[in-house]
Amino acid sequence: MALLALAAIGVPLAGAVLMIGPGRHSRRAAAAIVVVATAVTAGLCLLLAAHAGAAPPAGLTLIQLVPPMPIALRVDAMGALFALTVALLGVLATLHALVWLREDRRYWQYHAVLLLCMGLMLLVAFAANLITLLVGYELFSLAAFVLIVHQRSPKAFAAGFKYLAYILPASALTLIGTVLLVFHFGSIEFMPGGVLDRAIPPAAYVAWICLVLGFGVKAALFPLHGWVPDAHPAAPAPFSAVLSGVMVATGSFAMLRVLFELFGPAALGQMGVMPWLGTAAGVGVILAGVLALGEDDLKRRLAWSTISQMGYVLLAASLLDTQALAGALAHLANHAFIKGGLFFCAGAFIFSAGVHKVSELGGLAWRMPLTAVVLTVLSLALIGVPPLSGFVGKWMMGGAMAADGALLPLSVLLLGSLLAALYLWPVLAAIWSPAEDNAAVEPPARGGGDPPRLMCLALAGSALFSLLFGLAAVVTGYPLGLAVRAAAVLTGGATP
Amino acid sequence: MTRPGEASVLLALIVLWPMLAAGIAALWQATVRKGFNLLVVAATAVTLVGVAALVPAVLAESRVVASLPGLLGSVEFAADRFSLLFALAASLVWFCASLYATAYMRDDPGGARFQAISLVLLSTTLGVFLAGDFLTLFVFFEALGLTGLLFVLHEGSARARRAAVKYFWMTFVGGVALLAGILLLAGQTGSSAMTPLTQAADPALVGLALLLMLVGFGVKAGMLPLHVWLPDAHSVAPTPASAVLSGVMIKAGAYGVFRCLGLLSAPDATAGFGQALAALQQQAGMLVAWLGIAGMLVGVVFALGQHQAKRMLAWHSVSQMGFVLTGLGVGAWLGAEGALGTGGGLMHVVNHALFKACLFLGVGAVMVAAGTGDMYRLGGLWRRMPVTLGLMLVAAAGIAGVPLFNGFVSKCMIHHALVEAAGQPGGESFVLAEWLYFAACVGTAASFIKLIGLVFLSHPREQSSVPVHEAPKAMLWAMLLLAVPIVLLGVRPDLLIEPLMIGGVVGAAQDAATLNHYLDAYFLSPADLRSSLLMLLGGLALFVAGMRLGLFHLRIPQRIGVDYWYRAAGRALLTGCRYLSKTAAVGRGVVTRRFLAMVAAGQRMLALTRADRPRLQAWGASARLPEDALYAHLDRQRDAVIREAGQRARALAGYSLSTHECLQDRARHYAGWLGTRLIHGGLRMEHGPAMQLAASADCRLQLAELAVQLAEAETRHGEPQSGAGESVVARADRLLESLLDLPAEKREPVNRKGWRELRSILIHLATDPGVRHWPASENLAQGAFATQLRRAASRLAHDPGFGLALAGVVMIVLFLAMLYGSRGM
Repeated sequence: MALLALAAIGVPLAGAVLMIGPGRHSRRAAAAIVVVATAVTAGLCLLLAAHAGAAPPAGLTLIQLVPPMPIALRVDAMGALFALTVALLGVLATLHALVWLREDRRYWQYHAVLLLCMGLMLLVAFAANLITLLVGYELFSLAAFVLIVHQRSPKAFAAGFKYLAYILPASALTLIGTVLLVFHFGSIEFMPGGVLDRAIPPAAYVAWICLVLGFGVKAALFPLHGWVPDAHPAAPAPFSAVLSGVMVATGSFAMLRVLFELFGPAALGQMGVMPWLGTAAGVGVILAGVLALGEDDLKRRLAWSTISQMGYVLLAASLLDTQALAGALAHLANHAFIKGGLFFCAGAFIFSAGVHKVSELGGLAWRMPLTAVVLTVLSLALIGVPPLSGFVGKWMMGGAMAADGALLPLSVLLLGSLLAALYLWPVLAAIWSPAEDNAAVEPPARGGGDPPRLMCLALAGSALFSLLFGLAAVVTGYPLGLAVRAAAVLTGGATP
Repeated sequence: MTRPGEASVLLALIVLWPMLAAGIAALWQATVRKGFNLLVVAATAVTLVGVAALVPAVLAESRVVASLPGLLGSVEFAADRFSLLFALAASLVWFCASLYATAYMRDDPGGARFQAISLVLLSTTLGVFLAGDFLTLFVFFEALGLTGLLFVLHEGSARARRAAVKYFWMTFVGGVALLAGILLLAGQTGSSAMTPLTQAADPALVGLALLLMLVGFGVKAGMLPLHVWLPDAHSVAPTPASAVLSGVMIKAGAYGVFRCLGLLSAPDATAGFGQALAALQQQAGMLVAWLGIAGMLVGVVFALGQHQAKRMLAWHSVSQMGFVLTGLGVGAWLGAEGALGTGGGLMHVVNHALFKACLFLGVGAVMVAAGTGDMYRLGGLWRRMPVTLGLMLVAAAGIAGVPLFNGFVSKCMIHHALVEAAGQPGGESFVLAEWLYFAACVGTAASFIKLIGLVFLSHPREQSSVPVHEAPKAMLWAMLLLAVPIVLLGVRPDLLIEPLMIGGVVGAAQDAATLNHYLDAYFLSPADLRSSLLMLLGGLALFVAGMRLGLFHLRIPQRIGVDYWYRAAGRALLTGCRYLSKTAAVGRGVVTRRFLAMVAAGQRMLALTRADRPRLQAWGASARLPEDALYAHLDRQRDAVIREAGQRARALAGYSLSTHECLQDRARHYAGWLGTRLIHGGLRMEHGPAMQLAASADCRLQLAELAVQLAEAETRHGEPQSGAGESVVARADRLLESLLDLPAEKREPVNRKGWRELRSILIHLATDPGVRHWPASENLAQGAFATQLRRAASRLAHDPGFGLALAGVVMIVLFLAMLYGSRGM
């Protein structure tokens, strides 16, 4: 099982290497390599997810750097959930990118680094201890910089440097936190229920702050979210989707791993620090939603929306409740496809119609019907309308909050939904406004119709996933089933 | 007689079939065009037959359930007597509306799309009525709301879009409130089933949950004060859509309210919680009843003032839903004896579906035939459209409460329940409610006398050019199919009450004796007939008075209605959010700009200081302390130069707002610098010429002009070049030399090498007052004390012995600290 995980990590990395070689010269070879790599990875991750809950987590130690810090892999429910999300979104993003990079000569660089990023994210997903996670995490942060500045424009560089300015101190903080944990907890191996078997040392608080701040930058936790609204629009559209969908989720995933499998819910409850995290996350949800209303650039608006939605995950996790955590994990996975799909639509608008701003979106639905329908479905999913997938996570999180009597997080959850409707409504109203009102707008150079088939396939895929994972949430087993199992393990310490 | 398993399958099929039929219809329209209408009508007929087939199973078992895997667990369907009541009414109205639409939509290019959406809506509505738990109900409720949006948008006009926006936001906010309520309920009681509550952790939260759910359902039901979307949406939709919107879809809200109140009936609650539940039931019942009464009155008053027939009917929907809510509320308030109220409310639901749909269809037929829906422009149609008149008379009699029609039965039931409640302790307010109820009935009667009178019976106001024909057959058949039950239920209400209600209320722990008693004693009793006659006469009187005195043309100011305040709140919210994000963006911009301006000013200062240093050192050696009046005059001159430069810079045009600000700042900086050099130069001049210079306007203007030129050059090129490429300092030098009359001075080269020289330069710069440069040069006039202090510090800094002593003291202190610190640990 762990060998499969190793393979799942290795395939994208091998694909990246191949891309630098044969993929450089021929577009067709590059397309073949990247499609095969992502498809094989997705298949492997599907297999892993199917077996993840059934058997105890299988471990595999790869390298022992220094005795307390091996590079080891482990397949469990939460990791498999995240890995499958990354892999599936990677497939869709690749399809989108194959069209997006049609006129880009550095396409092979993009594909290579994207495959590298995928491999590193899978390493993060299957990490068995904090060192392995950090190796994947830090390398991934740096690789993401390369893709953010792919277009090499001044705006992209500015966004990329801002991203680095946030991420490098965060790396330092995570390293400090890790060192503190090694010396005070004794072990940094992920154990459900936490590794602490004695009284909580005072350094644990410092370590907690360091790790939360360190991972919180990537997880777009308020007030460390400043890089998101600049970096996500500056990156090329398919990578924006990956950024918003899984990169921010990587930060949340790493934070949840560390909080629940190193500190453990019992220790966290004793320390009494989780309400602070919840407050920060809640403020982020509302503030980001409000600020999204004022953004005219569509991708920037969606970037603020990402900050708002991912705040839910940490808000729910701060309750230390099983059902809330299950809802948070399910929301993490569902949001990846919803937000990824929304960024795919934004990319389609830029590609086909040259439209970046919401104010220029008038009447596009009549020229690009498939894109508009997908955008509508995904917007409804983001708002949380049943039976689409966004509703699943919200129902579980809301139910847990209501059961605990936590009325303030519940109102934040619902207010976030209302704000999502408020900032998505102008987009929908604009694209569906009648053609007569927008007759003055001429169709742009590229014909202005629906984008080429591969891009439409990516769009339709994300809409289908959000419909499927909502309507048949219990049938598919992913993400709801896996999330429930993962939450039970993380909070109960039960045998997985 | 269906078997249990078959009944479950039938139940699930009834809900899902119309959606499937919608898909088939869409495909059919895309491929085979012919027979589309027949397909749609047949689909609705099949649904009606299916619901009817479910009746025996439900009567036998009192609850049929079906469960499909999906969503978050399973999708639960359940049919009990009440659900069936609603579902039957819905299917019948939908069938008639589809039949009607085949004729109405004949010339409408969007007709096929309308019929397909109509089928999807039927599916979601049946899903609401036949839902087995609150989660399923919520899913179908939201789907209902969103799909109904397409109905409202059908016309595509600007008016339709405005109505759709209002409808969407109210439905959405109601949906959020409903979700909050259901989440709280599920969290507190552990399940989202619709059975009466038995146990909960915190009764206060249960009350909050119920309030939120009431808000959510109330938006859909047109409950005051959440009704503002109703008149716009129902009048802008096409007529068959209005018929189902008013007839059935708002009943989904009433159904939800009914189920919420049903949660509180508590037959098996634990002791403490049972008391809390009883209190909640009383409060909820009172609240719903009074909201219902308010809705009744507001609806009738606004309806009387309308001149568009469809809008009038939409306001009457608000009013009639007020009747329903009054009945449900009073029934809940009375608790176990409330069967009459609840039964009256539910029967009014069915009745209203029938007669309101019939009325809408009739008005639609008139609009199609005569071309307008304005009651004051129509008239005398009785000759041309007799059948329509007859059917509309039936429906109008139903809604007005004429005996032997169905409205009379339900209105009397609700009235009796009100009387009973008024007699109970704690129900004194219901006495007033009874009078208000009577007033609303009078108003309703007046309104419908007005409708029939103005549209059909009066003399025609305008000569219409279009010849008016009788309505097409399909429309008439649809109306007939609705009119027949109106009369039937009026004459034989026990056909509905006995099977579907008596069994149901018993299941809901209410005493069915009141219902039986009503059927035996009160139905068509003289007292009821008398009050009904009184009401009709009152209506007639009101109508006549209103038409004579023009009461119906009075306009109520907008600020009284909640609509105005909702829109204001929405606008305020959006403005607030935009202001916040603009502030954030501007804040980023302003702060950045200020920061960058500060950095640029500092860089400028540094560059000029560096260029000036040799001169200033030379000057510093021979400086006179600026204590005399000459300094004051030169200082004033410098201020004047700065002001002048600022004014000139402000007068420049052709720059954007932020650049202009920067330009003015720069001009003032340069003016200040030039002014300071003027002071330095002037202080070295002879007293007389210097005073002249300090008062010279020409000097001021030249300096100001140079400052503005330098600033403009910097703005445009990024550095303060002058035209000929000479440096700023050189240019300033030239000007000042022309202005000042200075004795020749020796410029000693400053030896920068060597630490001693560097140190002396640094100390010089730091301590000598003359060297202090702008903008700190404002402090040139220092007090004597500060000067002495500075001199003393300078002497100390020059003294090596003192430095050694200081270093020694610091080292001793550190050593002692380490000693004591380690001892303490």
